[in-house]
Amino acid sequence: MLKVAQLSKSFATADGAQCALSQVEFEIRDGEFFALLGPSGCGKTTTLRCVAGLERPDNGTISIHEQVVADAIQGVHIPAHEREIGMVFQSYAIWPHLNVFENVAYPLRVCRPRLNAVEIDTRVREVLALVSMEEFAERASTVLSGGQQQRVALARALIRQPSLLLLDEPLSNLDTMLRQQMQHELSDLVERVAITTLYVTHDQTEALALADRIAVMRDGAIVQIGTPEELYERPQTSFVASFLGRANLLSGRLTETEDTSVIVLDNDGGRLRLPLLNDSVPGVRYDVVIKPEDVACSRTPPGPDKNVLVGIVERVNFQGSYSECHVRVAGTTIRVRVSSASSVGVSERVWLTINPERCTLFASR
Amino acid sequence: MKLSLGSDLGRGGVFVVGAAIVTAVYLVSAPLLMLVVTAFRGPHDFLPFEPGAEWTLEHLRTIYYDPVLYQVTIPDTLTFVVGSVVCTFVIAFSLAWLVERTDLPWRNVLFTLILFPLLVPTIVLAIAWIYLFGPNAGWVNVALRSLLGFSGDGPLDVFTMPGLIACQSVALVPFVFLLMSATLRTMSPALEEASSTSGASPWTTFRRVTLPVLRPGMLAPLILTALITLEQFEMPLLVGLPARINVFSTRIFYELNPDTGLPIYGRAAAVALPFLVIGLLLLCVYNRLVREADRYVTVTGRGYRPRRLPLGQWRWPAFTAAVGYVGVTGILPAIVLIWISLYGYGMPSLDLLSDASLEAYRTVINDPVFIGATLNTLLVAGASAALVVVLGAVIGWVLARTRMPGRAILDVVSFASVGIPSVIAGLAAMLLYLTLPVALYGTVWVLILTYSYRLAVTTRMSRVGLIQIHTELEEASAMSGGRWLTTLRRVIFPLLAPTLVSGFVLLFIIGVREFTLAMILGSPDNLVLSVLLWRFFEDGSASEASAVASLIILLVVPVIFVLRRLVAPKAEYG
Repeated sequence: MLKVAQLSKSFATADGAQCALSQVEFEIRDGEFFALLGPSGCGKTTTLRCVAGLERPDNGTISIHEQVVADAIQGVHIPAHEREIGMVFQSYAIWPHLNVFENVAYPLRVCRPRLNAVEIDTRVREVLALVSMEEFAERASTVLSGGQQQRVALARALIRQPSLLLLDEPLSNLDTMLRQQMQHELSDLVERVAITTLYVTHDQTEALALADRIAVMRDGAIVQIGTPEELYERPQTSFVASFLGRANLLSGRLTETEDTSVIVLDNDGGRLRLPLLNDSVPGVRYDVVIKPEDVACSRTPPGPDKNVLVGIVERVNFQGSYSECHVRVAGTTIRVRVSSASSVGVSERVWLTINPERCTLFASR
Repeated sequence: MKLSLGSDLGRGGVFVVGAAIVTAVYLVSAPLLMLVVTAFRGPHDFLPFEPGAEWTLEHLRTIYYDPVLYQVTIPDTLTFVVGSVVCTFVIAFSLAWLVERTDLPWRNVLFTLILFPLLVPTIVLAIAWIYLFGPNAGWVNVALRSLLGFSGDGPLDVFTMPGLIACQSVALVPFVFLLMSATLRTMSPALEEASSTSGASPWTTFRRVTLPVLRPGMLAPLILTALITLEQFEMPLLVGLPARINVFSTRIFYELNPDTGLPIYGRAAAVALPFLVIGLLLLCVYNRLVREADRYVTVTGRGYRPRRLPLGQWRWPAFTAAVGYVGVTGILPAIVLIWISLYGYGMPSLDLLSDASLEAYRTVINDPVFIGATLNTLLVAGASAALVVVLGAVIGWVLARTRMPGRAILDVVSFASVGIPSVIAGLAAMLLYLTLPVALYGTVWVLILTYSYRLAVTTRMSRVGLIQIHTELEEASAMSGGRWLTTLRRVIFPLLAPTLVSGFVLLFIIGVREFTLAMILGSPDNLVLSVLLWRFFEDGSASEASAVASLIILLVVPVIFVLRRLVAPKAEYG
């Protein structure tokens, strides 16, 4: 449905830093909810804006429904207002000089052929009902709460019944409680309208919860594309692993290769015995990625022949049902989850048992 | 569309932006080019492109070999500018400091009264001053003579260099006061408080923190005041010429209106050239200073109420001085004009009170010339303000939102008007429209086009306004299917409305006050009120002149209040 190929763009930002996209490629299927995930400055918003037509790529092509809307080499560039794409901006961009109704009616008022007033009224009320804002039609847009602004922005993006919906960090301006709620509403709504959606976020939990597929981006390039499960379970780089799972990253050197591989962690952090790797090279440095939920933490030494690291608890963050402990092991800090009932205290010595099956190894760069 | 405008304007948008840029560049640079060319074209009184005209250095030779330039024009201009700037600054800073940083009583009322003369054409003030301080029959002099038992003329004489400087300073104080008070108001009190808590005495704090911090904020207005003083024409014409003081603006006027023979345009242009260069140089300095001042973070943006200095025993003396100033500069001129319009030119006394006559008003209002001049004034001020506001908004948008090649040039052109003295702008426009083969010269259209060279104000205002409007508000319109022109009409202009209306009000006031351009480009067909007032005054029709002056005040004040009302409700999301 949406096809982005070899997208590249470079420009200088206001503070003089060079920002760039290089060779971004992905394809979104009809009806799919696709997320671009990455830390700030990774190029995800620039990619979205290229799709919207608000930026011109230096290179590459973008096509929607087999129609090329941007081709830098051929000089094709369909302007944003002719692309029939709905977009929700990060700031929501609700016009303060128009009330809720007029904000939502705007796309119908400026489009051709002109619609008559009755038709506009019907459609605006319909789409306002869709986002549960029908009672607020006459409300001034300057008095709306964050959540209401977002609904109006969604209604405005959907009223032309576009084939593609772009969402630019739509939840980042909301407080935590509201974010949860709006996340659910958003996924319901997108499902009901059955619209193809491209979603940009830096929040991995949002992406994992909402998207059918995710493209993880870093430094202007796509690192990995896959379903949430694939990315979570089989990350292809340590970046993806640590970014998605808030996973721990340990570095060490591979030493023995008999029936097991052993990683000697830096700073005398201990040893990790792992299943034999296929094409491992002794002496090479590796990154070991371990998710917090795959580490068991005990206050007494566990049995032998297990992967055990010893450390001191630095900090305990109470999270409700569980607590996240930061355990200092040699030079690094490992985050683990413990039951809130376990009452592990700061400065206490703990033993961390690591399930070798759940570790993922990447050769260090 | 190959221009990387950073946005898709569409064909209509490109046309509108292109037309705005061409118009702006034309309004500012075409007359100046003609001026420069004229300085090198002769012979004698030929227009630059009249048949028979050729390149020549005769005008430059005549003007620059003439000792009058070095013995009169330049020293007089220098004395006038430096004297006025110093006086204006001392008065304006003192008043601004009293109103903004001390516990002076009735500060808010004083603030409004100090600003009042800003609304009135300078020519009105000039006439009022002459009626008050004229050496022979000036009210104040007559009163002083009878009080002190003097005879003859004086003791005060407005027709001297000190008199001219005093009049000019008083006319400029409101504007500079406005600049100063803005700087003083936005200065964060934390800077001074930090000094106090470091153990510095109030005097040390003032010397080592307040003054250095304020310096960049004060230097830029100083240069701006010098620029504005340089282009003053009304006071030098009315007060300076009788005193045989010849500053450059009156010199140009003299070249255009010689005692005998035809005006020699090339000579006027030759006189103008060095002053144009000085104006533009001062503008460069001003720009640099503004940029430096921006780097000084003295503005917090928060609604700080600066700590006010208790004046103590000086509170009432300071108040008396401030009220005295406002009385002499704001209220007395108004009284003298109203009195003369009702009772004729003579010393006021209680016995005369019942002799009030509206005869002068009747004469003026029944005069079709007055009606024509009023309509011309409103038309020229309104149309040029509207044109400049729209041009400024579009150019401000191009400068704020696009990365168009040549932006820097456009920026310079739009800002250059501040550095072009209005006498020169008027002269340049005269030369251009006398030469162009269109029958515009002498019409109101010439005035509208020439008034509109003041693009800097609205361009800057629009730019600042646009910076406060999130770009996504415009992009949302494009994503809704709106073409750029639709976005301009339905999103950008409405959001910018408070800025645009303020810009319009400001330029409308400037337009009504304008005398220099209207005088130089004047003809019987495009007479405006300020020039009509001058004619009555020159004819010695004191009552009629005063009536016209009073009517101008009556005209300006309500217009401003109505427009302010229109702005207020929309200002909430500006």
